[in-house]
Amino acid sequence: MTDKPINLPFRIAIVGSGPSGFYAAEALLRSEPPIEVDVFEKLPVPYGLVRYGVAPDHHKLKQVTRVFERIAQMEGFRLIGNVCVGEDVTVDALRQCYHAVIFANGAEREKDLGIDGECLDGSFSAREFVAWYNGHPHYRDLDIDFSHETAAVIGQGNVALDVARILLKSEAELSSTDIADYALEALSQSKVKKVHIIGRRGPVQAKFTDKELREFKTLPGCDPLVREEEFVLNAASHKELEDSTDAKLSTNLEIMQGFEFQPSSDHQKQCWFRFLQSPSRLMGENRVEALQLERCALVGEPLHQIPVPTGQLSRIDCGLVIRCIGYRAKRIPGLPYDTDKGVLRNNQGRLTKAGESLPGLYAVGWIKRGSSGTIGTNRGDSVDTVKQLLSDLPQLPEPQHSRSHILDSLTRSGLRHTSFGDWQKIDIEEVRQGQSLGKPRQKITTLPEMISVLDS
Amino acid sequence: MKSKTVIGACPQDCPDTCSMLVKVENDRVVSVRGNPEQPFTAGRLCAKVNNYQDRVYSEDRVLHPLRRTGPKGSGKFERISWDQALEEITERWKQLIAEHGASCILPYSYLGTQGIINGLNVGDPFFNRLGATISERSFCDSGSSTAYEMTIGHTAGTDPESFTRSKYIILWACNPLSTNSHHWPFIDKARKSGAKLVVIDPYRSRTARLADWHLAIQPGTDGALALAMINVIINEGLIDRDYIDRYTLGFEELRERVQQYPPAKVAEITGIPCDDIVQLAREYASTSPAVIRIGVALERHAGGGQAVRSISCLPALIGAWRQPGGGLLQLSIWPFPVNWGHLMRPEFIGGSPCVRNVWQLGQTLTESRDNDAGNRTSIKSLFVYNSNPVIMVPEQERVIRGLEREDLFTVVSDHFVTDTAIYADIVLPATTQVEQEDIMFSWGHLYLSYNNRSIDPLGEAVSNTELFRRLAKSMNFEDPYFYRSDEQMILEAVDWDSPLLKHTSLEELKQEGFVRLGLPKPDEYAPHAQGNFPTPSGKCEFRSTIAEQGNFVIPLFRQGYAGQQLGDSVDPLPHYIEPVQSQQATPELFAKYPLKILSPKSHTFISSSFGNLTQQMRQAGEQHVILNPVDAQSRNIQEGEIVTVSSPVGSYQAISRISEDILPGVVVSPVGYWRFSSQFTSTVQAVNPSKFADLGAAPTFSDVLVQVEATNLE
Amino acid sequence: MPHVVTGNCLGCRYTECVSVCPVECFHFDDTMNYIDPDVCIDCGGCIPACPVNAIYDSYNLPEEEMRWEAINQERSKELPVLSAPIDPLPGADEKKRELGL
Repeated sequence: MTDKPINLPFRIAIVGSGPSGFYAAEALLRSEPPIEVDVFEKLPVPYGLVRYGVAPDHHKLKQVTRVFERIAQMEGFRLIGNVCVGEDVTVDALRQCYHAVIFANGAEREKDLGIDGECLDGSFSAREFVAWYNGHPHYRDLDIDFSHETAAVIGQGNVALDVARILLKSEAELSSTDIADYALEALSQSKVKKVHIIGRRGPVQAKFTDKELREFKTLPGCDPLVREEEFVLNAASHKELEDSTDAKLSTNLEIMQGFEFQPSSDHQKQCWFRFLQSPSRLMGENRVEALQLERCALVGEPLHQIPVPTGQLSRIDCGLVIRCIGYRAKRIPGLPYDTDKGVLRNNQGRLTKAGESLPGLYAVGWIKRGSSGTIGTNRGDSVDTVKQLLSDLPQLPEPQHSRSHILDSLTRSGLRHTSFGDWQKIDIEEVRQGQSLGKPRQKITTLPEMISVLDS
Repeated sequence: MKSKTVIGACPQDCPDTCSMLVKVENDRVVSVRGNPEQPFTAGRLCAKVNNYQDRVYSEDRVLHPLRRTGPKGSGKFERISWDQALEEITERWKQLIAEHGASCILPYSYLGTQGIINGLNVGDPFFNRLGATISERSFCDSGSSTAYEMTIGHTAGTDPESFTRSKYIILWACNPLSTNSHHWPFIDKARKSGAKLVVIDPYRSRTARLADWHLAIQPGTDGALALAMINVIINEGLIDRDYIDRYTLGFEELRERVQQYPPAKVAEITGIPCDDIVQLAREYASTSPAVIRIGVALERHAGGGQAVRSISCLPALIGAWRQPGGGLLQLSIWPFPVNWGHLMRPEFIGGSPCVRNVWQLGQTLTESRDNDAGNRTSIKSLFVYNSNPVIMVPEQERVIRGLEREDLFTVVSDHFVTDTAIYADIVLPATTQVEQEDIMFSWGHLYLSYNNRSIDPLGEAVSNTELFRRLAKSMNFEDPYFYRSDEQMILEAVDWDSPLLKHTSLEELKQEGFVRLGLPKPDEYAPHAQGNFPTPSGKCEFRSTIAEQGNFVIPLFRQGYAGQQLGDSVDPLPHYIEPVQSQQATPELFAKYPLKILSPKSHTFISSSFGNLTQQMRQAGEQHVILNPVDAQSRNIQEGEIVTVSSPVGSYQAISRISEDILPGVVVSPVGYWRFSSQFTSTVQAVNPSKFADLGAAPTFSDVLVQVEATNLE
Repeated sequence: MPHVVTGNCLGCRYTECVSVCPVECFHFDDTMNYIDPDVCIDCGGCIPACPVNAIYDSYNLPEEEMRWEAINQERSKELPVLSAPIDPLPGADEKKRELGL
């Protein structure tokens, strides 16, 4: 039992300031006992995938940051930016200053296709490509070559749609977004005219959402296309459609039924939605020159169908391949990791080792459940973990050090950490710079520039 | 109180290799339990291992080196130091080598632990370097492995976890509820989603009792049944023509061959009604995905190898490999990225070594000492570790006669003074799994496991790795290879750069205890959906291209040595080989010994391990033999009576159990009981002969005629 | 004799044991659960799963709980099998607290 001095608040550290981190902070700060929350963020600026994942042309989605701003104003909230847990400060050090630590790091690694040539130049993961166009300081220097007319996007989810859309949109359409300036410059020179969105499953099983799919119907100068032979539904897929209580399945299908089999002559660009094709090899001498596909057939019972390769091969000549097949969490030394699922091993958010909970350690968001769901999914998910934490709280030992201990030692080591107030200064500066360019903001994409805004 | 939980892994020779949580209080192991996080073994252990701490702290543990002080077999030993023991062993060996050559030394071992560094191959580099006789260890699945290699190659086969997708499951000659129990929930889940479970076994085992359909087949006739199934599948056009055309070799010859096995004829051979054979073939061929799990028992009769060949052809004929949950599962060990060569070091073998098969230990120790002028094959010293041959090897009495030889210098390293160790000149104390570090493959799932050491070794016990470091030093070996630390050995034993281990380092594996090999998820893993068989042709070879090199034992079971193989000619097409002992083949023998005997693994022992421990013995009951009521009645045998089981090789006593679980004319007597701990002296291996099956020097324990009689107790 | 459910289950009838059992060896009435010893394979998975420590390997059965061996044997044969977890009995949580668990 704790020997906590009466009426002093509990202290919780959250690692990561994306949606799941903010929602966890909210759930904690709304709860009964007095709690102080420190959110650690490795970059000087918060919001994780809202800033660096959501596509620049989905500006509305980014309005969720208003909710985060309100959370940041709640009493007891503190952002500690520009501090990387695991490098600048250890997990053990955090445990000595907080009653509990919640990991909200997200999924910082990608899943692999496991095929030959995956690592050739010109083959990128969505994580890299998306972070690049969104101005992430660690990815701004990626060298992406858009000189080939054809690009392949592997995956059947919304990330694949984001990537394809950004590849196909014109400079004019992107220039009014908060896309990174260097990315806009590179994309304006892009020769990409044809994008294939490739997946092993059929149109019924693809995980697109209707809103994102519809955008392809109105993409200027671009035909959304499907191949007749890949758009045939087997009996089990029909059954899935009939039995599904999820109206989105048939909505999606209806949208795609509106796609053409043949490109129209008056449009320059093409976006091919390819189904039942499994990428089997990336080919090329030093860089990607082509992608080999293998035709699949779906076998098994409705809702349990799996794609089985048939041996029928084809190839797409292309200069760029972007793999959008999901993410996995990065390991954190000393914490239990489930290699199979690519998450921290946990039971309802409590980290576990050998079946036993590790007291005071928790996970929320993608690092807890894998890369799925929308931004909102993380709210309920964080609330669930926080419930477990709150029920454990009375048993958690009193930390050895005070709340100021970590900041003091970081300051002593000469690290310039940032606060939420600091972020607001950067925010204002970005918006200011954006105004003259007709953009919602002009993202600052290097760490020194961010810090210089604060210190000027 | 200092308390901790250590992630270990079960060492026993079992397909399940459970991730095991070892609870330690004040440096003493107080309990073990299954690790709930490992998806295959899922928090459960078994009747053998649940109280592993009782094995560790048994009063009978050997904790110091011992030297024999009485006659061989008297059990009289004195404690000596490790230095004395090592000096005595290596001085004796040096003398023997000078006199007879190193081939007079025979290593003898198997899988008392199956850890990668302490198990199968731990002594191979030492004995290869020494020039000792090669020990051909065809204990388990060697015949199947040869047959498998000849047909579909060394493949993982169907992922055991993907059985949940199967719609038709044939468990052929195996009893997973007793010997592979962590696989059962996957089979059960399939059943609950509508799969039909067929068990083919002469004995109504625990598993057979739960089957939808139990086919009680006559022992040794499985190959005929498989060939009749092929006959029906081909003749009724139930084949997957496209799969056959693309991914198989020799279909036309197979079609012609199986015309010799019409179901009506095979019904007479197998004792399974013709209609049932036809129904089985039709259901199997028309239900998808269909999968076959074969047990080790399948190889243990004269035609065991060809039976496995025939069964291995079935999935390709119907295209069962096309889907996850379809195909065949034998050993899942093959994909593990283990550096086998580096573990065995066959290049240390100089010239032309002698090779001796483990099943023929009795013969090896008794035959040539008088008449072998050159003494090359005469064994003067036996070094036993990880095994208890007196209990596990046929011709038990002959083995003991050999071990009693005064001129045989025997060293045994074990946890206990076993039925074998009692004949040793020197007994060395070995660590149990909780006292040693190891990394583990599995032959029943696709997870690499790590066994962290939980406690310091008890007494002066040493791990096998340390044992061979000490022996190498005592023999003045110079190569630094022999002096690597366990840590270094583990690092070198596995190819950490393999794509199958892409996301896991050794450090991470130590912390997590297990990792699934980086193969597709069970739900999606269909390794041969498009052929890709690891055979010379890349296809499923109905007609085997490597059959022409003759019969062989895979080098993994021969200290890496590929030479001096059995070499007897092998028909490249699957065929049926009749049992060597039967009413038809040996009528005179049958007149005296009219019952077929099976000696399966017990529910509570693993081979001979645990055969001496109270809990497992209490649960197993006395050594027994199960007879059909018809056979009991005709012999006037009552339930619970002491009976004598005999064959021309020898005899033993057991308690009779009478049950319709076994066919008339067949008796069942589980293996694993110790001579010490049984109320009778001999055990079931006393009646088994050392004859090999057709492939891979597998034994013929399911191809033996015996008589069972009430014991005259005077 | 394999695993045995003992008195701590009486009045609780938690069924966490059922969710880990690979062979459906648990039977139940309106007071507690029982293990069919002929079906149990001794995997030991139910022991740590039981919230009230009611299950023992018969080998480790304390002297005072020995009688449960026969009760499990007898009752399991007469009662329906439990193939999926069901709600614990009313008052189970109170009894668990009384047991100090």
